[in-house]
Amino acid sequence: MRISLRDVSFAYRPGRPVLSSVSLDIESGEVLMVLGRSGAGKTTLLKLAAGLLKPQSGSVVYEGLQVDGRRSRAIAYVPQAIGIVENLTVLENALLGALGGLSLFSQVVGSFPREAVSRAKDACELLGLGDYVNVKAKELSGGQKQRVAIARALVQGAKIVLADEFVSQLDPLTSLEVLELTRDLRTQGIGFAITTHDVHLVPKFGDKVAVIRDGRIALHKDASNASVEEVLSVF
Amino acid sequence: MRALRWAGPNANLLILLGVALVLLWHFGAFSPRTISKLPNLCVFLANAFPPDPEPIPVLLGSMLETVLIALAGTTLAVLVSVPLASLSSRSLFTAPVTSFFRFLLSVIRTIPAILWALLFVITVGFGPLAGVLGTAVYSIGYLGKLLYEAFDAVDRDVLDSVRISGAGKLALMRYVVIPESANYIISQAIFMFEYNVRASTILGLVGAGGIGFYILSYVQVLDYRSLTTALLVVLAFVVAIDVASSRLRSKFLPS
Ligand SMILES: Nc1ncnc2c1ncn2[C@@H]1O[C@H](COP(=O)(O)OP(=O)(O)O)[C@@H](O)[C@H]1O
Ligand SMILES: [Mg+2]
Repeated sequence: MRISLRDVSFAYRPGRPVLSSVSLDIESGEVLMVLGRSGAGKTTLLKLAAGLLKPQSGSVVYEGLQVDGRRSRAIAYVPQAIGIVENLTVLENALLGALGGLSLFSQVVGSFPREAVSRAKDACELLGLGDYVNVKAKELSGGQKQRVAIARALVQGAKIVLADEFVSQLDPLTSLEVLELTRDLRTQGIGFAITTHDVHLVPKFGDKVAVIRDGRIALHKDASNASVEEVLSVF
Repeated sequence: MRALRWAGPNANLLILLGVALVLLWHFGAFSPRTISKLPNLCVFLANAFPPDPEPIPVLLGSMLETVLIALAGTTLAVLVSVPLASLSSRSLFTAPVTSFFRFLLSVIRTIPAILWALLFVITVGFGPLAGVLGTAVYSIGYLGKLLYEAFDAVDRDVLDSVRISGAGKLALMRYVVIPESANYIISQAIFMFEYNVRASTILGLVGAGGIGFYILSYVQVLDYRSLTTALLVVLAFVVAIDVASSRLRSKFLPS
């Protein structure tokens, strides 16, 4: 399964392109680190991949991610501000991932099938949130919120998680923990596209690395072949 | 330079005072007829005191009815304005839909509560039901606007990420928009109730129930001592509800 950006160009305002003819694949089962200076267009790239923005030219193709001609729920988007509902509990937030599978009626009355609830509980457990299921999200630490967002993606059954500045607001130790989690989940076939401006995370946690500069992909290769110096040279 | 700087506010103040005096004169405040009636004020005050304790039980009952009218009207308004505000919010819907419901809410707001009550007196007859419906409709216009502005302010990123996970508009409303604005909704609903208690005291003037009926009657039969009692009852209730309401609201507002 794969999200393919093909010759994608995008501008928020005419004449000021943010991305010019960008081609990039985001695959399930691997971690893609998207690097670039702030303002380079990393967030824009993820929003295009998520379908939240429409490219002015080029296309975004979902391979193996379409069901009945519609994009399935195989994509999760974790915005920079994490995107969880502060006034819901951890378990409720995780359960939001199951909404797409429910009938309109069940969505509105909030009757989640027992199977979804146990899946959500398992996801919370897996992510070390077992003791917090009934705690309001607003009472959590940054690292815990990040885990809630991943739990929701797991309940959703996402194959690709688009995570913007995933660890930028976390302290170094917590961000290592969260990144190790993503590396483990990769073995379950889940792919991640993680934007960051921290070059040093690439060799340890990335399978692939892409650097955006001046609206183009300045570097795109296997992380194992890319040295920090090389990445920095095009940064 | 200095003189000029001082001239500004003084000139404005003088103009304001002038306008006020001209308007008062226009409405006959300085005509000999008005001035000759000034002693009436003293007569009225003399007749209005001491307040007559006799109607207190009746007045307490009708003031309670006023409070219940406000409570029922506000509750009804919350139930209707939450969906209307959702339909007006750009967080969930786009231009043709939001513009239509925003326009609807603003039309409702242009008609004051007392006129809505009058309208319902005509359609459902005299009594508190007309008061409840009038209060409700007016409050819908008002609460609807406050709520859609709050709904608009819900974090786009949260909406986007939940939407991508497969949630429809109704689910977004139930699980993102309403939880994220719940405290604001509660606090505005309490404020609206407080406002409606004050506003409902005059509903009786058009026959829509509550203590206003007695106030009107006492004025008509010149029973100023009972009128004073009625006004004191209103004052006591309004002050008590204002205090309770602001205490309660401070619990729900972000600290
Ligand atoms: N909603 C928007 N409207 C107009 N310009 C925007 C908007 N969002 C981002 N931009 C501009 O697009 C460029 C890329 O932004 P972004 O994708 O957020 O970069 P990054 O995530 O790499 O920091 C920046 O110059 C930014 O100012
Ligand atoms: Mg960004």
